Amino acid sequence: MSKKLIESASPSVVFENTSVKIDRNQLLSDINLMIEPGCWFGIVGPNGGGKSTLIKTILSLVPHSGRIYLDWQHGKPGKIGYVPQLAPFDATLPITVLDYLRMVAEDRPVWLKYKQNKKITETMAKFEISNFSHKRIGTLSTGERQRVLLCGALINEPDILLLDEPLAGVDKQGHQLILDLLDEYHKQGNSILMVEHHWHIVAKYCQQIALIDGTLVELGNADRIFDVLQQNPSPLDFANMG
Amino acid sequence: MLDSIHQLFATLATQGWLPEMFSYSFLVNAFLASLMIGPLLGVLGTLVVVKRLAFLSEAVGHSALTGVSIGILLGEPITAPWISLFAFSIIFALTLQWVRGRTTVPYDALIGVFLSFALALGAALLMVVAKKVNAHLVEQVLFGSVLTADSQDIVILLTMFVLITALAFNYSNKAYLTALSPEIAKSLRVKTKLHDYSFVLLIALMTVAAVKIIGAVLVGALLLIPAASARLLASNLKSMLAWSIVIATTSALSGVLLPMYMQWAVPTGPAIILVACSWFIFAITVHSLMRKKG
Repeated sequence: MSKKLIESASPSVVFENTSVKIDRNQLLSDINLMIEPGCWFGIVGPNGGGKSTLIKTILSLVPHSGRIYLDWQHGKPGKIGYVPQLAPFDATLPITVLDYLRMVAEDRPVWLKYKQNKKITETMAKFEISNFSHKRIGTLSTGERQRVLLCGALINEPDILLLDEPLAGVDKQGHQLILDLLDEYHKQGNSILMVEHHWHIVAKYCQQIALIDGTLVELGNADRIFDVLQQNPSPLDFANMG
Repeated sequence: MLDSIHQLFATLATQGWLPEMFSYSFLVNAFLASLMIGPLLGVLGTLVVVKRLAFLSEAVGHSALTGVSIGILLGEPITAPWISLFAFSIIFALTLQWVRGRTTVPYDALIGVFLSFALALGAALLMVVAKKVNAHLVEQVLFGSVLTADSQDIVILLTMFVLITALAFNYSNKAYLTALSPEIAKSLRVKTKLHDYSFVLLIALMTVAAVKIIGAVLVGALLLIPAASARLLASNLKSMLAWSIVIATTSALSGVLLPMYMQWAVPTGPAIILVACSWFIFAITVHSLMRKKG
C-alpha cells in the first residue's frame, strides 16, 4: 500500500436525487450528497433507516432512481473494496480463508497449487489471520470472518473502501487492530465510507457524517450530528453514545 | 482419427490386453464419452454445490426430455435429435435465468416451477412420441444407452471439453467468487450476470452432451452427487474439485463398462448413478467417522 502515499486516486462519490424503492417499500428518498476524495465518511442512523442500502446503491447492488456516480480523479475507474454486512458463508463448504483470498486477489486458478503470494501473505499477517488461513471460511467466528473480509477488501489496494458495519461481532482487541489498519489506509489519502453503530468510533475517526433515516436527515461533523442526536435520540440505536 | 482409436482398442482386445468387449466400436465410443463426461460434470458440479443449485441441473435434465420429444416429432433422427435438444435446453435454461432477474420469487421456488413444467411437458410429448417410435428408443432417451454414442457425440463432447477447460483456466476464480458472494464479486467488477448466464448455459450444454449416455432422467444427478460427495471428503476447494472429478469419472466409466463386462441388463444411466451413490455413502461414512474423531 506504500505507493498510495505519493498520490491518492480516490474518487468523489456523488448522489443526485437518489431514491430506492423495492417492491412497494420506499427505502431511500431523494438523497443529495457529495463525498470528497480522501474523506473517512461515517453513515449513521436507526435500524432500517437505509444505511446499508445507501452503500449498496454505490455498487448498483439495488435498483435505484436518480443518479449516483464515482468521479474518479484521473478519469479511469479505480478499485473498490467492499465488506458487506454479516456476509454468511456455508460452514459445510470446503472453501478456506486462503481459497477466498486467492479468488479475490489472483487470476491464477484457485485449484492450481498455491504459489507463495507476497501480497496475500503480508495482508494476512497485518490482519493476524495467517494462523487460520486453512480453516473453512464458513466456520469462522463473526470477528474472524470480519477480519478476513476486510483483508480481502484491502488486498487489492483499493482506492475507496465501502464498509457495512465492519466491526460487528469483533472483540475490543480486534476493534483496535482493524481501526489502526483502516487509519493507516486512510492516511495514505484513500476514502472510506463506513456504516457504523458505535458512536465513539464514528466520532473519533470520521471527518464527515451523514445521519440517514429514509433520507438524508443531517450532514456534518461529529459535533453537529451529536447535537442532532441529543435533541432527538429516541429512534436511534447506537451501541455506545459515549 | 476415431477409426484409428477403434482399431487400436480392437487390436489390444484381440491381443488380450483389454477385455473382448473393447473390440466393439460403440463401447469404445461410450468409454471415450465417459472419460470426458466425468471430468466435465465433476467440475461444473462443484459450482452447482457452491451456488446451492441442486435442482437446476435436474430441471435442465428434464428439459432435455422435452427437447428429444420435440425433435422426434419434427422429424429429426430418433437417436440424434440434436437441434431440438440443444435449442430447447438452451432456451429453457436462459429463460429460467432471465425470469430470475425479473422476479422476487426465490430461485429454488422458481426452479421448482420450471422443473415441474419441463417434466410435465416432456412426459406429455413423450406419450405422443411413444406411439410413433419403438418404445425401447424412448427408454434409451430416459435412462441412457451404451449403444447410442457415436462419433458425432464424441466430437460434441470433445468441443465441450476444450471449451470448459479453457474457461476453467481463465475464469474459475471469478466464477467461484460469484457463486460464493455475488455482492463482493460485483464490487470487484466481476460481470456476475454474465457469469450466471454462462453457468446455466454450460449446464444446459453439458446436460445435452451427456444425455445419450446417462439419460434425461438421471443426467442432473451426475452433476450433483460427485460434488456433494466431494464436499464431504475435501478440506479445501482444490481437493473438492479433485474428488468431484475422480468420483464423476469413475462413476461414468464403471457405469458404462461394468454392466457390459458382467453382462447385466442395466441401462448405463442408472448404473452410473448407482456407482455415484456408492461414492456418496462412502463419503458420508468417512465424514461421520472423521467428525467422531474430532
